[in-house]
Amino acid sequence: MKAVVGLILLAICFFLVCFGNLISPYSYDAIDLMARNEPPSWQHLFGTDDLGRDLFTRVAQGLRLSLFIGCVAAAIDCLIGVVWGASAALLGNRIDTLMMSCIDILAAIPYSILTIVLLVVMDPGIISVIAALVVSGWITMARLMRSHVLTLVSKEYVISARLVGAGFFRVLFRHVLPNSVEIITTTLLLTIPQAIFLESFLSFLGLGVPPPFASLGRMVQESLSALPYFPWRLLIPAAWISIAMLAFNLIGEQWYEKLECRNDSLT
Amino acid sequence: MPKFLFLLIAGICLVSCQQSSCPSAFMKPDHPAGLLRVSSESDPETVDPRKARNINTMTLLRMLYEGLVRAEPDGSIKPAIASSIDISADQTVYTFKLREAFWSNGEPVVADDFVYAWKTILSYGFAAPNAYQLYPLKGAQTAKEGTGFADAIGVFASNAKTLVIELEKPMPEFLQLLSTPIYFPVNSQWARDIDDETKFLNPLEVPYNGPFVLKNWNHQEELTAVKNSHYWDAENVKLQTVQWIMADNNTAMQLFSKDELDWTGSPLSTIPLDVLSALSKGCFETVPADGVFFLRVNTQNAPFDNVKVRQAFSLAVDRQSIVDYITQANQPPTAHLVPRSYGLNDSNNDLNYDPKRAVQMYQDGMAELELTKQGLPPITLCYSYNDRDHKIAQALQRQWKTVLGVDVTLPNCEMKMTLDNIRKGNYMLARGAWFADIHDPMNYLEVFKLKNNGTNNTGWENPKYVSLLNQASEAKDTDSRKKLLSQAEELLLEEAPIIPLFEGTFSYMKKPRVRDVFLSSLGYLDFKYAWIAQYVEVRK
Amino acid sequence: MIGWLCRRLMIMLMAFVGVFFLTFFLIHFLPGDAFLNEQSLPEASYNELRHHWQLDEPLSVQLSHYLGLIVQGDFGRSMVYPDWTISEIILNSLPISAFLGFCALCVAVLLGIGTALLATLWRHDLYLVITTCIVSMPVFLVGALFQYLFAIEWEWFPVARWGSWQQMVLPVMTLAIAPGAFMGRLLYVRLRAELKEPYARFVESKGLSDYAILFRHAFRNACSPVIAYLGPLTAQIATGSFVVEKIFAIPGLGQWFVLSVMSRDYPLIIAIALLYSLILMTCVLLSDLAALWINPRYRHALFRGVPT
Repeated sequence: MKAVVGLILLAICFFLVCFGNLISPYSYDAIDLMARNEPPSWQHLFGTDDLGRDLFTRVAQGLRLSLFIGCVAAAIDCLIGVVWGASAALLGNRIDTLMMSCIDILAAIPYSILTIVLLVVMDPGIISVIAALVVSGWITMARLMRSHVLTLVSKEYVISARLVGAGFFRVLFRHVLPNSVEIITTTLLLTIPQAIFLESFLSFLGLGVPPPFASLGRMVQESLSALPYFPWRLLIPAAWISIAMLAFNLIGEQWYEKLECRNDSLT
Repeated sequence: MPKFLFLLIAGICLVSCQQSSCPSAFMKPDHPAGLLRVSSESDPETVDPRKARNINTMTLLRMLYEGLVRAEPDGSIKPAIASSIDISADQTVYTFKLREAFWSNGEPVVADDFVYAWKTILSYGFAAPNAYQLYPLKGAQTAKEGTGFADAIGVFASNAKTLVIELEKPMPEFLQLLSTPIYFPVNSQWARDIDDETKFLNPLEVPYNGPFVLKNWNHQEELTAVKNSHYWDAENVKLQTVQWIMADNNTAMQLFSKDELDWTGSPLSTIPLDVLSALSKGCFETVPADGVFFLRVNTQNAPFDNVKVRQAFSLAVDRQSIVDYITQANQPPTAHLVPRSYGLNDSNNDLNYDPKRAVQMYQDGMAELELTKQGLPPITLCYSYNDRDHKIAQALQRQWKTVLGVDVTLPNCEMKMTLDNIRKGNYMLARGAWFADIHDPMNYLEVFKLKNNGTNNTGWENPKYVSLLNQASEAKDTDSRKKLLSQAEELLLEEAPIIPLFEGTFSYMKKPRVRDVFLSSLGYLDFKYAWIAQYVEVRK
Repeated sequence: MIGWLCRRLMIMLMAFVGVFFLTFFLIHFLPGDAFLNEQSLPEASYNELRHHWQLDEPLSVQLSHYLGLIVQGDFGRSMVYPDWTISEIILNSLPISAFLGFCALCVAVLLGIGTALLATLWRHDLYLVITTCIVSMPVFLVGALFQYLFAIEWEWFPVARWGSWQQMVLPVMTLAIAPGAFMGRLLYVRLRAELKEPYARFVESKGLSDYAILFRHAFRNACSPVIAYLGPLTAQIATGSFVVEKIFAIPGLGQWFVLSVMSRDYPLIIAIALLYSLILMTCVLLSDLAALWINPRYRHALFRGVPT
């Protein structure tokens, strides 16, 4: 049941992302100043924004950007975070302390400084946006992973694997990771919306996807002052992010439950 | 999914019960008498008139201090702390007789207060950003740069109530300059007792000689000023309390709509553009500002080193639609640097919008440069992110694409990085503005006089322009000066190192109970004569 | 245990120093400075301001000068507000932000744990849907919606500003709701997994009720990610507080986090970075201590030493 709903939502999002631009008669950057701030109607399904651009096309393009940036950034975050956290937990107290101190230092430096440094060093564009999202996004995953693996480390199968002489990678891939799936997936699925909205914070600072492209997070942030007057500009992009997140989560849950059933049947 | 749709529709319906009436109309009945609440986007920097820089600080200083002269609401300059002004025949010596005026700690205002304040500003090593505004005084620049002596500065107190000022050369608008906060006095008796570093650390204990004194200041939260009973003109001050509430622009609008603020908008904060779009024009007021918004063009980089390409970009901009639909605060579009109120150049072509000619000029320019579309370097328009500039930039991007077929990218630039790039010439097009310090067309034109003066930043310098401006500053009568300045401006616009867009306005909203708050075109808010009307019924 | 604590504190101190140096060098690497503004200054005035603040000196000179000040406990003045001392700025705004953050933290933890426990008892997966929706809304959206609905339209609470308890409700709820939902979800997922473990099934077969299993056994084990999340939670609340303080006009420290960097106010940036690292590291330490107390497996891993 969950999977069905999830798949339907995902299909809708997919359809919007792939075909939204094609079925719409408007371009995402066609400014029509006379038609600005119009509510949803048959000419403009989602209404228009403050420069008269059709919101349906903008949301389709924004959803594509947001999902791409969010998923890639969250995936890289999780990759770095999992490896860092698991290594810290498995490689002994000294290395653990060193690695966690690095995280503490990185987390304490004001995030704005890091993003502006990236802006100076890299050319503005999607790669720099993803880099700015990744530079501190992996910390949460690393901390959670480390604490989780510390509890696993005292479990029977890990101790016995080590006694038998299993190397670091074997322990990591065969014992630790399969038992961390639910924490990894939960955090991954919840890091994606955080990455999406961190990107809108970046655009406030000056490092975001260059106009006329706009991610959904940026559209939401730019429409905050319009809430009492033109609410569709704010609510529609926000709703679409929630729809996409919900789709991912429902499917992820179903996939996880299938995995769990398989695990159960093994033990 | 159905849950979502429901929430969405409910949300839209709920918030569609919009505020259709003006936020200015709603007033609660129990407003305390004599209280004015104003919103400010950020705190004033300091209460030291010598170090002030931004407009919020200057507005506060004009509440707390008063100088020799004061700019009145009708635009004239009237004596304030000075009771009489005597100007010498060659217009270089000004003698001021001071009236009976007192500081808020009871001490009298003496001529030495002005001498002390100005001499400390001009002392070598004192960090005063606007010290250059004192350079009309004789010997001021050399003293500041360390090559001259403080004693040689042309200001001294011949007795406690007489102040004599000597200028380097005659300056007709000197009295106007005297009314700005950099020329305000500091209580010398009080100041000499306290170490310079700690003088203004406690703003509540500083003596003030203006219409109001500071009663309370919670950083980032609110600032309260009450009527100064020691002020020489106290009987004309009708307000009892002025409260500044620091809030960001959206929150200020919400507070204003709930009648927790009486005034919001320029110059202390900004009305969000979406609010301007939603409300009818009668809900907010605008005052023409003495300032112009333009795009700086970096004349050192191709293709903008060719004057035809620069003019083509200027001709392709539809200024009217930008001011009608984006900025929406009655800004007049302009193709000049100096605002039309000066009457310098009454050309009819303020819109300067001609797509056909733009294409022609562009092609000519590209042919002269021997560049093709493929060989065109990436053209960028730099601006630091704020709502209005962001929208204008996107509109310009679209206009240039449709008219000239040129793709302009808008790299997101952070504010200081943008400013640093502009200063170093690392840009192609950048958003800029100039707001005058005093009412004088020279104030605008000399921004672009020299290549390296710190304010130009376009890499453009023209010897004929420089000589015209030099001649104008030597000119004896106003007519010939105006003619010279007019020629200079025409030369500037032909060469087009800038693309003017529109003249500025200040837009604000106030509750009907607020009367006689004056906002000058230079951006100075004057609360001295303001008063609060008592309303019996509440209009909703 | 004491030995471990001492070593930990030493390392925190070294990390603290690391933050100072790294921040110092990074901010001087950023282009622009506090005196570059829209209305540009003449070159001479600009250079003079830079000279007054020693910005034209080599970095090592500036560093030693600044270190000298800090050692005496004086963080200097703000570059943008020349008559405000850094200590004054921080001491005025820190208590407010700390209080706001602390309330938000408590509410987030209570909300998260409470709702997760309830949801586990009822075994309804609708909880996952709700938490996903909440987490996929950013702080500024939640804040704007709360302010519009509860303060402007329905007038249940004041619009903005800080002082009375009514003014506290909306900002605290805005800050707490997303982290609370995230935590609740983490806990719910872990609890569900723990309840399928052999020991839980064993206890259930013995006849103990659901509540007992939950509180006595599963919770202690499932708590570890929640407690580990307290560190990032503090960080999230700190960054979220920037937006919340802006929307509700609260004079807290959060705004300075971003504003100080944007205006290149070097002394303020360094002071805030040091303060923030102190808070963050203390929270991480506390959460580690809490985890040690609650979860015996954690204790084992940290103290018995992990063979490499």
